[in-house]
Amino acid sequence: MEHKLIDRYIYAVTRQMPKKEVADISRELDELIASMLSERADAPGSEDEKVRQVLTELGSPGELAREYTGAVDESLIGQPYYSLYLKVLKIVLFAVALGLTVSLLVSVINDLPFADPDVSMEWFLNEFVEWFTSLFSGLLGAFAWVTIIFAILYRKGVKVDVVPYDPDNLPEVPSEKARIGRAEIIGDVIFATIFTMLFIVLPNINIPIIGMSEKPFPLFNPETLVGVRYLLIAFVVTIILEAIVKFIDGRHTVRVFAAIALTSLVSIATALTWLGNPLAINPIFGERFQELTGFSIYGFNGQPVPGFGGEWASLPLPLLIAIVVIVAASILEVVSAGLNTFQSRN
Amino acid sequence: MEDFDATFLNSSVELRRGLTNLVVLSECRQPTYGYELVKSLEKKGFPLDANTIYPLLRRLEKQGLLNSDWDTSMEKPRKYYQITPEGARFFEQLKAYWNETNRTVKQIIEEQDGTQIN
Repeated sequence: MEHKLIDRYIYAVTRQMPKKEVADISRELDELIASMLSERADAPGSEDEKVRQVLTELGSPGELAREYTGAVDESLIGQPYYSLYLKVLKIVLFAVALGLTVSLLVSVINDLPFADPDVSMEWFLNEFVEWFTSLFSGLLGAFAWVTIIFAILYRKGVKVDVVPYDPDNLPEVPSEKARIGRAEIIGDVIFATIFTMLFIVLPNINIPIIGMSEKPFPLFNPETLVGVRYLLIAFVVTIILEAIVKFIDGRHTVRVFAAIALTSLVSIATALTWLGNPLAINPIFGERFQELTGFSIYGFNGQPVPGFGGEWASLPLPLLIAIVVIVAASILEVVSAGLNTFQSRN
Repeated sequence: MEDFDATFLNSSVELRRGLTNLVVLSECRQPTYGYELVKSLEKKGFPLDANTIYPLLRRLEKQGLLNSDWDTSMEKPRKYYQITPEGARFFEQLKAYWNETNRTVKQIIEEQDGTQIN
């Protein structure tokens, strides 16, 4: 049967097939179409119309070609690779986002025009756009690489060491107490974000005090903040790390406990170093406060705070209270996390 | 029930899919070519599309259950398929399995049919 449309159809079906099969399949399809046409020989209608009918009935060339090659190869990444792919993808994307955010944060801090207290919104927006575009391209690249590697593994059928299923290896159902809710993790991340914005990215306008001076001034001394900025970054990084471990495990495990202990340690160190500096609160605030109320924020209205020795006794009282609260809360958290971990293991 | 007909079609197609190999192998106990198979199955009440049967015949041939020969004696050459000894053995086993399953399924259904009045 000589017809251009038939040739085009057969070509479209066999185009992607291995060469050695093309001739045979073409011949067979030719026979099939001829048979279907000869069945319609007595029906009304032109030859062209009949050819169109037959080719429509056979379905799209793509569908037919897929029938020939078998449906197994239809996915880019099939099981059992797909489950592992999703797991690896999540971890890689998380790690890339974290790494890029931290490294950009460090570079922003180094670029920050500290000498100029009026950090413009425009400058800040520029940094934000830069962070967002590198995050976007970084995530896109990571996604592409993981996908390509897994697609190749799947095509080649490389054995990936997936832990063989064994009912005994199933994790125990965590007790209500041992579970870590999403709300707690989201809370950690929100806190880390706000903390980063106020004290690391925008030290010059951290908490603006309005009305006590001609010009608004930041409550926390920008110079002190700049001095301890790497400690502040470490603090934020440990919070994020803790959130990641909590997210992965979803319950109180030894790893979660270790992460909480590390965060608490860093937060105590940060509190003592940063807030333990009498200059951490803007001295302007201390002066204005005394002028307006007659009370000194240093020590107990200028007198050493009872029960504290040395420089601690003359720290601004709010800072001293903050330090006590932070240290106590951190110790409490470690103890309670330890108890939770211990209970869920027994 | 939503989409009753669509769900039914889906289930019936699934049921028949497993039986396609059995039916095609059975027909190939006599030499037959693709389109003849399309027509004969249609007539016998087990219609399958040509675009399903042709690739299926090739797969069965690749698996060694069928072999093929081009008959060029006619005006239009045709590829005839016939079951191989290996295919015949496979067919007998599949047939026995189907008969057994069919019997069991019938039994399961009839047992409930007897106890439940709907």
